[in-house]
Amino acid sequence: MSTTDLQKEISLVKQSYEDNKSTLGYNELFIKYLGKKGQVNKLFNKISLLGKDEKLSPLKSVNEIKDFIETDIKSIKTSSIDESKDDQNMYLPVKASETGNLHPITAVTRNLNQFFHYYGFSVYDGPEIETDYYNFEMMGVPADHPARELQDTFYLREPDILLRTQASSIEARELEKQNPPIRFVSAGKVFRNETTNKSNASIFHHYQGVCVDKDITMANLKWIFDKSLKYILGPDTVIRFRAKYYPEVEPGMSPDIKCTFCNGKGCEICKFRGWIEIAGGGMIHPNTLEKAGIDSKIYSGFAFGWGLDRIAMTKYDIRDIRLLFNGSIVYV
Amino acid sequence: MKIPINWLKNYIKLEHTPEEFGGIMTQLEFMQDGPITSINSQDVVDLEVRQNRPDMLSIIGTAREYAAYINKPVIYPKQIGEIETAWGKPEINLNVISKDVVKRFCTVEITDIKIKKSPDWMIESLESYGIPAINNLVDITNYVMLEYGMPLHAFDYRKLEKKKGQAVLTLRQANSKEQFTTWQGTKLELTPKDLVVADSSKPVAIAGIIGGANSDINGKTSRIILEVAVYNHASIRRTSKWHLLRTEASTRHEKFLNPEMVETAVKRALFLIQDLCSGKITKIEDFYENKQDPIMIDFDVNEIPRLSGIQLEPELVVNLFKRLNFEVLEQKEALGVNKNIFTVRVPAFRTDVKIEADLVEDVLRLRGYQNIPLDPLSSAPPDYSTSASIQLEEKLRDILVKLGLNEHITNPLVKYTKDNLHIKLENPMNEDMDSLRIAIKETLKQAVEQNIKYGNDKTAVFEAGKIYTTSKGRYEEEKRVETVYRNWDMLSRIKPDLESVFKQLGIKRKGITASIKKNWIEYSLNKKIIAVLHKNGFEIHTDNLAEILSVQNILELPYISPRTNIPQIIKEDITIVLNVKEQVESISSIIYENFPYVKDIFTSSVFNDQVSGESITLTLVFEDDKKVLTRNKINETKKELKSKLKSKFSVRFKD
Repeated sequence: MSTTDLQKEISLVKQSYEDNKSTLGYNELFIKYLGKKGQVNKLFNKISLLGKDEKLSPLKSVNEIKDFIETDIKSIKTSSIDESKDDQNMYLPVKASETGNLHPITAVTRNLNQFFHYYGFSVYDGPEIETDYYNFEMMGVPADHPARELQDTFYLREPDILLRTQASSIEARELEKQNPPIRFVSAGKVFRNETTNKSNASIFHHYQGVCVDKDITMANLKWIFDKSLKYILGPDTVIRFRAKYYPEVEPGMSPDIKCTFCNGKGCEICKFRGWIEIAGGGMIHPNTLEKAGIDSKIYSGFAFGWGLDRIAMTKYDIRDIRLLFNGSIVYV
Repeated sequence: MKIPINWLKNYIKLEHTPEEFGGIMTQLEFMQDGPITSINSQDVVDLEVRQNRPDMLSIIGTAREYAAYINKPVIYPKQIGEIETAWGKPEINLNVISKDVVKRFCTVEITDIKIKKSPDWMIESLESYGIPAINNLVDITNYVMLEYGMPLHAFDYRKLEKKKGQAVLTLRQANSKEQFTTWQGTKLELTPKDLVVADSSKPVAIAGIIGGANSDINGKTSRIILEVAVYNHASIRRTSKWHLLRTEASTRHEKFLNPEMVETAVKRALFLIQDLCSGKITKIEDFYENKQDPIMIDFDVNEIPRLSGIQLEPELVVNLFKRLNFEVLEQKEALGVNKNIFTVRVPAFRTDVKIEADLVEDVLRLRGYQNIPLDPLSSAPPDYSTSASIQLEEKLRDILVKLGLNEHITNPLVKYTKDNLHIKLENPMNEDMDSLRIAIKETLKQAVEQNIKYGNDKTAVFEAGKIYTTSKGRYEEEKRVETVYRNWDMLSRIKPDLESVFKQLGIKRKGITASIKKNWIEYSLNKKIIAVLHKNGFEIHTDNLAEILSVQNILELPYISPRTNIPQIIKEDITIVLNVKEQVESISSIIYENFPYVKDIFTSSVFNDQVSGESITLTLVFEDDKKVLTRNKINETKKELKSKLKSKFSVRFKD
C-alpha cells in the first residue's frame, strides 16, 4: 500500500467518524474506532507494515486522529447518560407523574409561617373546643355584650363550652401562660353557626399573630401588616389603614387592600367599596393583658388576624368557600 | 347606617362632595359600605357602624364626627325650652317592677294631637333613609330616633286599659306563654325573659323592640303617651334574638345607650309634636333611679407615643379632644413634675370610651391612621418555641405528600348516630351537621366520594386535623393524621406507605408493637398507640407521637446514613404455612425484635392452599456494614428464628 492510499484511508476514517457520531452511541463509537479491532488500530497495523521512513508522516496523522476521536468521544459520553442509542420511547406522549399536594389552606399557612418565623414568631395552636372565658370573656366580649352579635356560636354545653369562633382564644391562653417578650402566630379552624353559602362554610381558618413586649406600638403593627401583606399578596399591593372596632383591641386597626379587580373603582368582588377588608388588628386591650397577669402600664402588644380561606380563595381563584372543604379541590 | 346627605346638611355645612365625605368617614372608623346611592334623587352614603358606637346610628352623631374632622360646630335642631318638670322624680302612673333591667323610662302625656300627613321635608328625609312615612306623630318618633339614635314610642292613650280612670304603664317581665301581637300583625308567645310595657291587664309593647297592635297610633288618635327609655342592653338583645325580631329600636337598644340622652330626645320630639301635631303636654314622668355619672379619665399624653409610636404636642391633643366633644378639665401636676396628665370628661353619647387607650384611639383616628409611621420590630425575639406536635404535623404532611397523597380539609361536623360516641351540639345548624366527628375518615371519605366524581378513580388522600371525644364527662380533642385510599392495593401501596411513615420519622421497627384487633392493627410505641391500619387506610396519632419524639428528632432526617463500607446485603426467603394470616404481623414484629441484622421484611408471595392453609413467603433482608455475617451465621439465625416462631405460633415452614 502506498503512503498516499494510506493518507486517503486516514481521512476516510475521520470522515466516517464524523458521519457516525450523531447516530451511534458512545459504546458503539468507541468499539468502532478506538477498540482493539477498531478503525484506528487497523490504521496503526497498516502503518507497521510500512518501511521506517514511510511510517513517520502517516503515524503523525493517525495519532492526530486518535487524539481527536478520544477527546470528541468523551464529550459524547458526558452529554448523554444513556450510553447506547436514544430511547425511542422518549418521543411518545405520556401522563405526568403523580405527586401528592398540600391543601391550599396549608400552603398559605406555611407561606405565612415562613414569613413570621423570619421575624422571630414561633407557631402555637390551641383547643377547638373552648370555654366561654377564653373565647369571649378574656377577649373583651362578656356574655350579652353587643359584640357577640358578630359571632354566632356553636355550643356543646351552653353557655360555657363552645366551639371556638376565633383563633384569639389561643392568644388568651398563651398570654396567660407566657411572660413577655411574647411573639407567636397561630393558624386554626374556627366555627360559626351561620347558614352556609358561597362565602360561609360554618368553618373558617384564622391566622393570628401576637407580639407583646415593652414599647410595642401601632407603628410596629402597621409595619408588620405592610410587610406581611406585600409578602403574601405581592409587592404592588396597595394598603390603606383605618380605625376599626374589635372588642379585644384598643386602638383597633384594619388594613384594606385596594381591589385588584377594579383598581379601586368598585366592583362586585369588593362589594363596590374599591377596597377589600383583608385583616384586622390593634393594640391588645389593656383589660385582656391585665386578665392574663401582664402589667399593661409596662407592656404593650399588638394582635392581628386574618382569614386564610379568603386568601386561598383569592390566590387560587376559588369562588365558593365550600369547595375548599368538600373534596372538590383537584390537583391538575 | 344610611346617611342621606341632605338630611345631614341640617346639622353641618358640608365642605366635601358625598364621595369625599364617605372617604373621610371611612378613615374615622365608619367605613363607607358600598357605592353612594340615590333615593328620590337624594345622595345616600351607607356607613358601617360597629357595635361600640350606637351614637353613630344617628344623623347628628355622624354630623358630630364630620364636624370634628373639619373643625366646625354642629348646628343642633330646635327643642322645646326648659319645661316645668322634675326630671328623674318619682312617678305616679309608672310602675317599674323589673328595676334591674330598666335604667330609665320617661313618659310624656300629650293631648289634643292632630294626626295628619307629615310635612314634605320630613317625608323626604324618612324615605331617603328607607322608612316609609305613616302620619305626623309616628313619623316624628322615627325622625327623632334617626336624628339622635334614641328610639321613641307612642301609645294611643284611648286604647290603654285604665285603672281608676288612669292609664298606668307597668314595666314587668312577661308571663309564661303570654300572647302578644305586634303592630305589624306578628303573633308571639312571650316568656318570662321578655321585658314588656303593659297596661293594667296586658302587654302593649315589647320593651325596646316593638309596639303592640293593641295600642298603636291611627288617624283617630288624639291623646298619647310618648315614651323614651334605656334598658339593660342584654335583656333587649336576648328577647330580640329569641323572637327573631330585629327592629330599628332593638338595633339601638341592644347596644350601650346612655340614659342621660333621654332628655334630649324627649325635648326634641316635644318640639316637633307641638309644632306639627299641635299637641299639649300634660304630664311628664321619669323613672331614673340610678343616675349615670359622667365618665372621667385621667389621661397621660405619653400614652399616645407608648401605644402608637407618634409624639403629639399636649396642646394639639387637647384641641383634638375638644373637637370630639371631650371636656378637658385640668392639667395635673404630679409631685411637681408636669407629666402632662389631663382629666377628660367623656360626653354622654360616647358610651364606648372608658379608658386611656380609648382616648388614644380617638386622637389617632381624628389625625388619621396614615400619619402613623411604619416602625420595624426592634427588640430581640423570644426563644424559638414551636411545639413538637406542630412540627410533627407539618412533617407528616411532607411525608404523605412525598408518598403521593393529596391533602384535603373537611368540615368536622357530622350527623349524629346513636350507636357511637359523637359529641352533640346543643344548637346545630341542621340535623346533618349536629355533632363532631370521632374519626377524620368519617368526613374524609365523603370528600373522596366527591373527588372521585371529578375523574380521580384511584385516590389516595389525607387530612391532618382533629377528632373529638368524651372521656368521663370531659370533652377531649386529639390531633390525627388520617389517610383514605380508593382502588389501591394493601400490599403494594397502603401498608408500604405506613411503613415508610415510620421509617421517615426514624422510628425503628423493632420498638413498635403491633396488636391485632377485629379488623385493624394498632401500632404502639412506648405503650402509646401511634398508628392504626385498616382496610382503606391508616391513621397516625399525632399527639401521642409528639410526646415520644422530641422536636430535635422530628427535624432530623433519620433515614439518611452516610456509608463508608459497602454493606453486605443478603436476601433470604422463608415460607410460612399457617392458618391465621393475622399472625404474620406478630411474626414480623418478633423477627425485628430478636434479629438485629434483619433490616426489612416484606411479603414476596401469598399462596392460599385449601388443604394446608395460607402459605406466605417472606423475604428477609439482612444487612451488615461490618461484614461479619457469614452463610453459617445466617443459616443459624434462620434456624433459631424458626424454632422461636414455632414455639409461639402454630406454623410450619416450607423449605
